[in-house]
Amino acid sequence: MARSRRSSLRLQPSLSTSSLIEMSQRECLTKPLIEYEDILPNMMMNESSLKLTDLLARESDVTVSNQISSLIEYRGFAWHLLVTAIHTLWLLWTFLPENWLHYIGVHYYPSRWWSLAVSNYILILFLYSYIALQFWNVEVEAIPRDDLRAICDGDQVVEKDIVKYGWKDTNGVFDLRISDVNEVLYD
Amino acid sequence: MEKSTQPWRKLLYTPQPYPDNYTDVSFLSQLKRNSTVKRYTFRKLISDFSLVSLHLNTLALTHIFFLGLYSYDTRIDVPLTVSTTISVVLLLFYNSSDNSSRVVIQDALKSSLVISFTIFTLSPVLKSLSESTSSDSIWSLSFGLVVANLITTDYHFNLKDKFNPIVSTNVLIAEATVLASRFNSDAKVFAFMLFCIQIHGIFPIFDTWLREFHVPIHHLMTLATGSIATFCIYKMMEFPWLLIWCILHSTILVFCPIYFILLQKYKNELQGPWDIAKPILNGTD
Amino acid sequence: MEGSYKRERAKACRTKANRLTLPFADWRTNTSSIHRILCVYVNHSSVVVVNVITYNKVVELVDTRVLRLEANGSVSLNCRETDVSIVGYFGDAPAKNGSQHWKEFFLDDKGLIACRDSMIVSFEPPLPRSMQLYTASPIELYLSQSLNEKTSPYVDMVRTHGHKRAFTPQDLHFTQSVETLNRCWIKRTLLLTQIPQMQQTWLDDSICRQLRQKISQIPYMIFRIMAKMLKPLSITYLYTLIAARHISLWLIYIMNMKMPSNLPRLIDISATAQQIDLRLQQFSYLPIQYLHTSRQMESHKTKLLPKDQFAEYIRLYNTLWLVINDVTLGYVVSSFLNENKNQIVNVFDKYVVSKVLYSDLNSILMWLMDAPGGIKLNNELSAFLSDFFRWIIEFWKMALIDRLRPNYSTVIRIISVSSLFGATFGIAVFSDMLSILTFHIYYFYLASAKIYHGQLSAIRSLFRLFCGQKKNVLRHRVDSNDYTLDQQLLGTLIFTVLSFLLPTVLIFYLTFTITAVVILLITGLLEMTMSLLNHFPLFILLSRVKDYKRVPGGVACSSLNGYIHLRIKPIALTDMFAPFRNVLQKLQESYLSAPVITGLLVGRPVYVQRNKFYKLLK
Repeated sequence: MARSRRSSLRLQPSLSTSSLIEMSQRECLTKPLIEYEDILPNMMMNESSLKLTDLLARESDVTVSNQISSLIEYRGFAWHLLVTAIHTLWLLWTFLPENWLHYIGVHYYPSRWWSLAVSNYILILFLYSYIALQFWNVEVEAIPRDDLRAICDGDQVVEKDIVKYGWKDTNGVFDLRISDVNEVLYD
Repeated sequence: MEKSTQPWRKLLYTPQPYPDNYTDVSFLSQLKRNSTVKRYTFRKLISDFSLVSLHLNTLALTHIFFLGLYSYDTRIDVPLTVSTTISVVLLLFYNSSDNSSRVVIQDALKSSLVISFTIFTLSPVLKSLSESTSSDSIWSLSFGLVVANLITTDYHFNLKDKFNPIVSTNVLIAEATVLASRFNSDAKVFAFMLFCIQIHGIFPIFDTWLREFHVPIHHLMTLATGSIATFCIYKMMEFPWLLIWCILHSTILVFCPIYFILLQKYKNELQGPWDIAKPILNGTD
Repeated sequence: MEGSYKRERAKACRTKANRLTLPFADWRTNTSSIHRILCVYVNHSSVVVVNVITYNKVVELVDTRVLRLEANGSVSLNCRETDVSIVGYFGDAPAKNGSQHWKEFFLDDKGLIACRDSMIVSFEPPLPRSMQLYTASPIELYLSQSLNEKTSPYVDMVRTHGHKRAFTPQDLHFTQSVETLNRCWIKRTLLLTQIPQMQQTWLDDSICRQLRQKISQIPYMIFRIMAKMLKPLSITYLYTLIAARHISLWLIYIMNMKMPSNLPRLIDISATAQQIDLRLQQFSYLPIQYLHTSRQMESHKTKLLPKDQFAEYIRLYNTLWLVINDVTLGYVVSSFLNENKNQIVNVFDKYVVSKVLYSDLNSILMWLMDAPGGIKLNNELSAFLSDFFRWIIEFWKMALIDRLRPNYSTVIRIISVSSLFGATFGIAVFSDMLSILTFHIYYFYLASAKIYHGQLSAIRSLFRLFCGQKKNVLRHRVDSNDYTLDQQLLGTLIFTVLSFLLPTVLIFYLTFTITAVVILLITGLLEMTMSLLNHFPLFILLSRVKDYKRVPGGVACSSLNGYIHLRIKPIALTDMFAPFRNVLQKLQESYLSAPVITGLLVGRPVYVQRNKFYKLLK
């Protein structure tokens, strides 16, 4: 018993909770256990539900999301009710016949044409956003090919004296001025 | 048979005799379902939603007072004396129960004196503030501010949270100022402003304290304010408004809890080792 | 690696150095029996041909003592100047030995004069008498002003990477070559004085030029005669000049003096003071300028006018001419004012003072009192403000206008008398009078701007209180803060009150801003006229029209008859008007830019900044 306990302790990762040691002791009585399968491939388990890793994972709270407070739930509930109410009102406004509305007592309301107009406008806005984004990226955000920003960066550390590093190996920190480099290479 | 004695392991780097789309028995065995979901009872829900109802009641009381002063030209002394005595009594009650808060009481007294004198001085200014504006724009402005107040109030459902009533109180004071500018006498302005501040400034603090220590009195206060508000609406306004008021309250207190509990069955929260681990800092969570 | 790079660049400079410049002369019509020697002036390895000697035989040149024989059998020029020597020959070599370092000129297959390993450039020799000169870079007409430009990260990056070396050896060589050209005429005249037997082979030495030279000497001679006559008075003249200069320096000091306790200087407030200061400065600086330029002018036989002296010369004569123009115009204005005094007084009184400044302003303020244009204002506040401003206008009318009304003719007389000193003085005095008359409107504007700005900042800060936040001055950010109930209450009350009173204050502020802007426009127009009269580059414009070679702005190369021809490029018009461009840019920055407009919206007042523009133009 002591031997098996020691061997089981050797196989386990160093965890400090006592329950784990108890669990491992419990398991050890019946069958030899495996913690990581590639350490001892001979001892195998068929029942996956008794695997210790599984139990550990199920017991731990490490990956549990934050405790949700009741305020957040109430707020979500209130939003749900509000949006449902607005949606219902929108549908009623769009679909109810006029004499029904007069019967309720509502005489002054926006023209129903707006229901169609707003819906269509939002839909086309969604579709246009694809095109607009593409245009924006190509026309506005893309710099011209011969722009200085395509070659140099504003965060460079520039060495103004080309003689210091121009004919040696590349310095890891300093960059040379592009005008000096052009002069050496092409003038 | 493709299954060999070698058990399937959840590793990519070793070649295993199983096909690529093999689903092991232990698949999703570490899945946890609805482990963080709170269990709601009717009692809890109704007591929480009654806070909303209490807030609506206080708002209604304020506006009933305004309506009385504006349209019906009621005398200001009765409601004002009632509210002032109640607030003084509450302060004494608060003080006697909590001995460590002597400084707080003195501060509260000082601030209440400051408040009273300020309103007294500014009443003529407030009276003529929006003389040239038409009433309709004032009503719409006031409506907008009430909606803003309803959105930003801290109902303080969980007593452990920090109570942050600043924005809602400010909005309400602004709304009271805007409404008070409609009056045509200084005394009415003073009375209305003082009443508003007592109900919306002092009362929530007191209410929080009540909920912490004397819960039944809190429920009593809710019922009391509710009944006074309903009675006044019944007296002052036509029947449809009373109907709307009752429907609103029944919705909040009856329909909403039932609906909330019905919605709980749709909760399906999944957790597993694939989620991001939450680090435990400072030894406590 | 870098050593060889440097060596290569030095070699390139040297090979480009062998460049000869020739005066324009047509040699194609020569016969083979005539030989030529080229006499040159060499300076910094650039060679300018000064004269060409034609001969048939060398012996006759030696006999006429143009050349002399050296000990080693070569010939050289018989003159004392060591700068001028013989560079080459055309035809046969004059001496057998000693001519190995001389270049041989020949006609190449295109019929052009050519020389081995040298380039021939033709040019028109600049006449120092007419103040023509070649410069490699444009002459600096004005003292350079450095405008602080806005820097952005992209501009900084371009400036770091696009840096070109300021002055390469090639640039230096080019500048020196160009300066050599300027000396060629002087060297030639020196040579001719020393060797009068040499022919003058330059064909463009026509009679017209000689006549022009003689004519231009006439005023100079008259001046010299007058100077001789006035010589006994010159000492007293000198002493009075020095005394006057001291007085003017004192007056300048008084006007530019910094007042204690941050009051503005006299020069900042008044246009008259500015004008007086400018005239005094010009007057005190004139003698120095004159001494500088005249000294150079007299010694033109030995030295040429250097470039900056040239600019000084232009400035001096420009100032003189503008002052004379000013005084003439002033006389005209003064006589006009004197003749039409009564009519002007009438118009001024009836239209400007009574109507525009008084009754129109009153009616605007009354209109603002109840619902201007349908905008609903707070009645009490607008009534209060309106009454307050109207009271001040009444007081102004009583104190200033009613006292001034019988003395309008005196005022007109003052303006006309000051115009005698110059039209600019008249305009300056008029501008000052106008600002004195309308100073109440300007102070209305300042007061209402301060109220508006104060209200806006209070509203901004109280809005933060409304949202439960507070500005953390230490960290320059906004944090949330717990306020007590009385703080909340007071803050919200005052916030509401101020918000409701904002439209009223805004309307008053807008009214006064518009009136102040109108007055600012008028004052600005007057200042613009004054600066035009004071600093218009008249002299240089007319010099450019008369003879563009006097205002060089660099050289241009073109091809003429097969040779490369250097010619003078005159200064561009934009460079002549450079200070005006600066002033316009500064004006736009001060008055029309985005910060000023947002400042107007927020309530930051716009101040009249006279001195900034004045500094730029000097």
